[in-house]
Amino acid sequence: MLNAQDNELMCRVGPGTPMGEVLRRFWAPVLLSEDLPGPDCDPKEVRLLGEDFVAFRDSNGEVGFLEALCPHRRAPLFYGRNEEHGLRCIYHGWKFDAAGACVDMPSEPAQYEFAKKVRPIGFPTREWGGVIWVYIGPQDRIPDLPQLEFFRVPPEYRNLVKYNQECNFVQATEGDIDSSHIGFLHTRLDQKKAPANQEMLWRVMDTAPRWIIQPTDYGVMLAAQRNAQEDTHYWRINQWLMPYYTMIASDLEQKRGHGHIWVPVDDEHTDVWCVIWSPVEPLTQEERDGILGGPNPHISSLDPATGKLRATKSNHFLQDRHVQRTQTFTGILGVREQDTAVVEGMGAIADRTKEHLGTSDSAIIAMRRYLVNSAKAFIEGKEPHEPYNGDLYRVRAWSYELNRDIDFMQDDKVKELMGTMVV
Amino acid sequence: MDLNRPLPIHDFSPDTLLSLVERIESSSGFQHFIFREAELDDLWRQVEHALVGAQAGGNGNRDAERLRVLLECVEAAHDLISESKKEEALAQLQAGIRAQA
Repeated sequence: MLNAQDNELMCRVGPGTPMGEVLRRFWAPVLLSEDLPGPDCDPKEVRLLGEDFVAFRDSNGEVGFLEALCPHRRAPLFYGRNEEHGLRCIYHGWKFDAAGACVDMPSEPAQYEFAKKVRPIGFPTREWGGVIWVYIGPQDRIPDLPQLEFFRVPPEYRNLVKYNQECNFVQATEGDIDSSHIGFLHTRLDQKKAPANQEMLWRVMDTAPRWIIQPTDYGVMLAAQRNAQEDTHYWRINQWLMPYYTMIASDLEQKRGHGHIWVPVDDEHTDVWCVIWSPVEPLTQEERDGILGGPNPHISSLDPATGKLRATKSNHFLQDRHVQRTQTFTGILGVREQDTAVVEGMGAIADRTKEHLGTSDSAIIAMRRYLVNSAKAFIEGKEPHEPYNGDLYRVRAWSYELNRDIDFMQDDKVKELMGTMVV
Repeated sequence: MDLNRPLPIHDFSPDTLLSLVERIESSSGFQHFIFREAELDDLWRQVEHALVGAQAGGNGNRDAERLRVLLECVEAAHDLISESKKEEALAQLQAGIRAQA
């Protein structure tokens, strides 16, 4: 349960809202680099935190990120001509460079020098880790990029896919830190009899994990302990990092990582970035293909033309009741489609005054508390510290089988596993 | 008393309420308060369920009124503990206990 005031405080992200202002202190990933494939390519519309923008790549390959509307008569710059080092509005020909400065105003007599008097409409950008990042917060306080492992590996070690989800970013994020749902929502009915691997068996045999919830400088570390062998526990460590990054426990060999970024488009929409990476080797083509296809895809219905799932609430996420009776817990194909079905089904912004949390929801309580506290601190004049400490993000999510008698928080192996493998 | 796990809440008897008071009194830090919030969530759910039953079942206005006061106190304690306001949360829970007497 969360009271209505805190729920509003946590979920509203538009300009001037406390949470919106906290979020504006961070670099935001908005596009894949390949979404702007080359100099003078087609511009892209971007909506972020309830505001509209246009992104383009100029003749030098530099990325520009501008307010969506021309400051002259508010015409959409998206329709503009991307040519000769700038984006030119199709209405009266005003032209803006990648920094957002007006560099040409052919509709006005040159002697008035109006172009120099127009305030710049651009925002800082970076290209890093295959992603275009933007910063729309106070310009005197440029933050660090978050040094997450998956952005620091070579491109062939990483796969990024993005789609848009129709709900608030908090409930979208909550699905990733709710470790207990994986024993239900994402399971096959034969998993107990024929588990795909040892981990899968442990997950379905112990569906009510015990939790360690540790606040950290970057967010919350969420450790789920399940019974494994008679003298061992199976630990899954997930990370939630301010303000919208999640990392899901890796495989037991620490060779594959999996995470998400839940970027608020506005109060009721979220861009979901799915990241799979390896700290040690290139991903295989088979792995890449299996993300969007194959018998058990991570995303089964992505429409590249719209950036949305074809499985939606209006078609009941293509649920197959026969498959639900005979093969899988949900009858819905695709891990993301399964998660999306439940989180979108809660409504655009979940009414948390009506929910009934159990003990397995402690991790969700912790993340909400961190977010609400950040917004309340901002109201009291305290800036968030996380954006200015990019190295805080050098942590991993992992899984491991450990002896039952360890002191988890002091154990040397635990400390080793917690750090990133990529320097 | 293991404060690093949520206590299963089976009822809202005076003994249960007093044990929650003790647990809050002994708690400190983020993780403790998260688990106390989870316990108060569990308690709130059971009191709310009983209140709905009392209102629907015609058990008498007195029962319903007593439960309504308790629900308000538990809800307030829940919100206060989520802000790490331990003393204020305790005061609310104790007020709820007194209202049951």
